[in-house]
Amino acid sequence: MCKDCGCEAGNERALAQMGHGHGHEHDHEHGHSHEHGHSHSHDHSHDHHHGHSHSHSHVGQGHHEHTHTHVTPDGTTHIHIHIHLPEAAKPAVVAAPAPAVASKTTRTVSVEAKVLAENDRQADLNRDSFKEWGVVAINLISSPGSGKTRLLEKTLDALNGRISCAVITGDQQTDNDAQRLLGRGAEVVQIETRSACHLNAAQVAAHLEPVLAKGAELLFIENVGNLVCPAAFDLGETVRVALLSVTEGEDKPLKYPVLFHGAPVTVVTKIDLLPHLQCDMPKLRGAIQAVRHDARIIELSADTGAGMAEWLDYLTVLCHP
Amino acid sequence: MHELSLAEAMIEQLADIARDQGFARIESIRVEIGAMSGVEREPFAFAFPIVAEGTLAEGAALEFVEVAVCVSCHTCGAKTFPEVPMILCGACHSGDVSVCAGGEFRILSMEVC
Repeated sequence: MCKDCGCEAGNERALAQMGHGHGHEHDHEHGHSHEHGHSHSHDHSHDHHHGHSHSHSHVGQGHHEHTHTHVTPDGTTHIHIHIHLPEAAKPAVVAAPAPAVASKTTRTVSVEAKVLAENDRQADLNRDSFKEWGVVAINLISSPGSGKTRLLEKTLDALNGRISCAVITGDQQTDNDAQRLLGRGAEVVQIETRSACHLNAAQVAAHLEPVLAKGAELLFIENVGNLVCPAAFDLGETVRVALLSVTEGEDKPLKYPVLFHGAPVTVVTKIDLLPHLQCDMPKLRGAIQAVRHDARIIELSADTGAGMAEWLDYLTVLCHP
Repeated sequence: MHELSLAEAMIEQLADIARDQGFARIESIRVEIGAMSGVEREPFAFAFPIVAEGTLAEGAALEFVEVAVCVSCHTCGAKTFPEVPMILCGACHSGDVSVCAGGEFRILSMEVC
């Protein structure tokens, strides 16, 4: 559903003129975020509190546009075209207005669409699929070498026979991670992203059928090791989990706040190495909480098994609340 | 360098609109970029002309509107602009806040002819 105009956000470009008329009163300034709360395609007139003509049409499902023409006292004609694309969510605050002036020869087209609207749309579809299939999906994000695959090996072993698991694992090259995860009772699919530094929602969607066909309840999506790029791409996951190994430095959450703010859970890995390091755990926890006050922090060592029970309990409750 | 994917996604959206509307060329694009969007201006501006080559947006100017992070505090009710990376209330220092701005990465408008 398009949040702007309420129309179904299906094929953006499918032409579907529905055509009915009505009038409404419309008090607005130019060059701002433009919220329309009506849910239909139509041509209608507007009663405006400033002098200009205005036409309004919907050219397709979820694609809604209208045009204003202003004539200023010096005779210059300004044309503004507002196009509203369907998008998953609009930010609550728009900080700066778009320019309200166009010249005689160029036109300013107000677009107001998220750049990642297409990824967000696909992520919403993934979310629907997970609900439909009764799958809890976990998007695991961390820097390379923080222990995502090691944690998954131990997790799959521990849950084998208790919770049916599946894994989609992303790397730029090789299927080494998939090989490591095979034979532990879970369906495993490797995505080689080549030059891409993150997984996107469409890549996950393309691999859902095969990996979930055997009725998995818990899907781990092991993202490409990277603390920056994966944070921007919603995959439709149920929970985003960040991993942070104790060798990485206590201030890492402060250096990469977008990821750690977006993760309700941070798993601190490799705690068996603490006796050999200068790592200040209260400082590390404080850094996580400074970017996300309510983050759940689980400290563990996949190698020794310390703290694994808390992680496994967390997963079990997610699947069987 | 996910900015390359983002530049591609943006140009695809705008080129579709431009084609549908019969615009000949996109002259400039105004982009809103939040401090917590995870998108950096410089790599995005670097990637854009490369991806724009051969599209209706080739040679288009990019204009950025930067949005500071704003948090709304559940403890004292204040709306403040914290010093990123700290996502804390600027008035009472509580961490119990919601980010109300700064996550945006949106196309605001484009100039076409």
